[in-house]
Amino acid sequence: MHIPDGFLDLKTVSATNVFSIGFLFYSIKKITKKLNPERIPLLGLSCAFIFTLEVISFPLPGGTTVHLSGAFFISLILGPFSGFFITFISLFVQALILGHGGILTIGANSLNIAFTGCVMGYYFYKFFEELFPSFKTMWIFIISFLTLITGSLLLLIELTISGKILFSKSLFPVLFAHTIAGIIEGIFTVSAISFLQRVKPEILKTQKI
Amino acid sequence: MKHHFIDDFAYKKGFLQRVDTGLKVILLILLLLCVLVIPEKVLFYIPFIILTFLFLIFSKIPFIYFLKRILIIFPFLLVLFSLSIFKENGLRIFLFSFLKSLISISFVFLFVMTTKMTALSEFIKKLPAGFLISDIFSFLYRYFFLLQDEFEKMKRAMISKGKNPKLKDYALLSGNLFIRSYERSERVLKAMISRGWKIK
Repeated sequence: MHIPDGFLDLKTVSATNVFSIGFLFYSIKKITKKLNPERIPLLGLSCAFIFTLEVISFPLPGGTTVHLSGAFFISLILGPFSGFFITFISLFVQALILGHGGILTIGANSLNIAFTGCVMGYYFYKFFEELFPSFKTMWIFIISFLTLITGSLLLLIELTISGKILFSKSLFPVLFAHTIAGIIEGIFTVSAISFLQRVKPEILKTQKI
Repeated sequence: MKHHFIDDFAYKKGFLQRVDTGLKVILLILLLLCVLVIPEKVLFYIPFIILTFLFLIFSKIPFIYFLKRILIIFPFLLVLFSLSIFKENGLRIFLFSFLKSLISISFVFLFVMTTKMTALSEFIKKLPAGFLISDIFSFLYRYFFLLQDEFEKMKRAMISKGKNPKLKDYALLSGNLFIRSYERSERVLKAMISRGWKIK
């Protein structure tokens, strides 16, 4: 979930922004180091793709809808730093033109969604993939699920530090909602990656930065 | 599909439309910071609400249209409300956060509604490492509406063939959309190079 402006206090906003904007510049440095012009349109279109994915609502039984994050999915294709960079831009533009999230809370939202999804997700996946290479699909599902759960825990911590909620009382409803979203995200990531593997496997061999 | 381009009002002649983009960015950040740190007393919020109305009037933005746009945050606020009420004094905390959120989003929307996206992209280009951010930002704004339309077309085609899309089908549609984005990026690159584009 995206935190709007006004729900985090100054210290949380400052700390998360210092971290996320610092990491954004580190990612840009990493990307530009190996940058070839070919990659810019790819990053741009992937950013538009992530944005579209986050905007489209998918119907769930019972009349509710859910939207996907796609952060882990995109990092599996483009790499952790490119993934973080484009997810950050997508979150920023969402806050700007759609009102999903906030401008000052961009640090917190990108930490919860982009950092956990792209960077943590990618490195954990690589670690487990090397350890148990025959369970790739299972790792994609589990890590996709866990990135959402980690993001929701960070969200709870940020709101608790800002004095807006009680951690113990909010833990269950937030974890419950994100467990459902995590399972959906996991199924989505596994299905979409295996679809790419089947239809256009060269996309998965794109340089990962 | 019909899209609402948020910078439509940027082409009107109004007060905020005339202000330089860089100055507006600084003003926006300062206002958001002020809203963030103001104490929880109703009196402190009134000047910000008046300022929002003044900006709306002098920038010639219809109030109803503006209201419809800011209503978008209410579902998020509802979730945060359901979490806040468990806390002691939770309702009061939520109401002030809600007020802060509403004023902040009003300022953000006032900013984007009165700023041309091209001007914003030009401004971003001047920031440190701005060339990459500005390029990606421009790509996003250029292709997002297109990809959304493409997704809707694919979904409609699936439904017209008698298949009601389930989660797995949505994943396939998204995978297909990514392939189309990937292939489009290759065509766009060729078009950019043929027009003399070079990386700065």
